[in-house]
Amino acid sequence: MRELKIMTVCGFGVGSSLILKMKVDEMLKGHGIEAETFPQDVTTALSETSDLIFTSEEISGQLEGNVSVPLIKIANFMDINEIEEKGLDIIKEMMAE
Amino acid sequence: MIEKYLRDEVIELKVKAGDWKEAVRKAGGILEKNRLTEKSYTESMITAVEEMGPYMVIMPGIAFAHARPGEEVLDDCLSLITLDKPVEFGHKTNDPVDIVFAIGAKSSDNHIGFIQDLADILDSEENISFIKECEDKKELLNKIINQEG
Repeated sequence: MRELKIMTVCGFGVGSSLILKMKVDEMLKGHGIEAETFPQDVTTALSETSDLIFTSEEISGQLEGNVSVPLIKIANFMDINEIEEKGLDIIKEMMAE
Repeated sequence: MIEKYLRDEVIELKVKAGDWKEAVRKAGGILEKNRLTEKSYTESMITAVEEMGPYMVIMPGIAFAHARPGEEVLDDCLSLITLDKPVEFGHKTNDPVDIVFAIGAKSSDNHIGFIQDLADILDSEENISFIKECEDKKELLNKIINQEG
């Protein structure tokens, strides 16, 4: 099982992406999954390497087509259930690669 | 930790704002007034929404206005306003907004200390309703700060 590099992306890499990172961490911890998560602003995210990106619908528009990794769009950054529903399966799949 | 940032002077309740720009200007105005940010930072927060869309409405009813870390921010800071009437930011799922936080970070290197505390506070529906309905700053601070210890 490999450890994934997961990026949470918002406009400026502070505030919202931090909150999203914390919630992703919480979700992963709840499932006993270890991964490297880090918040990033959208401009830096374009050149940063990662395995998976969590972001918002609005920001995803700037990343789509410009990154080669899966993009997971989250509507409510504080909602662990949404993060789990949209992200857990793909994370487990990638870890098993 | 958050009590250092969330103080009486940076909170205003039941603020009147006609639209989202006015709401962001009022939240930003508090930071300027307290010399936590330059005046231009407020406009930067507005531009951010115009250029990138209302992504900062990260959960239903709550907006985290912020802009690029840098010289416009004099110190890591936070302001909180609740609105007399909710406003639309144009977000697909999380409108309308009646709580606006304005956040300033000096640099994107430091993890802003209070974000963790803020997330904990907002993790509770009860807290969110309380903040929305509250008309007394002292009451709000007591409830929130006491929770964090």
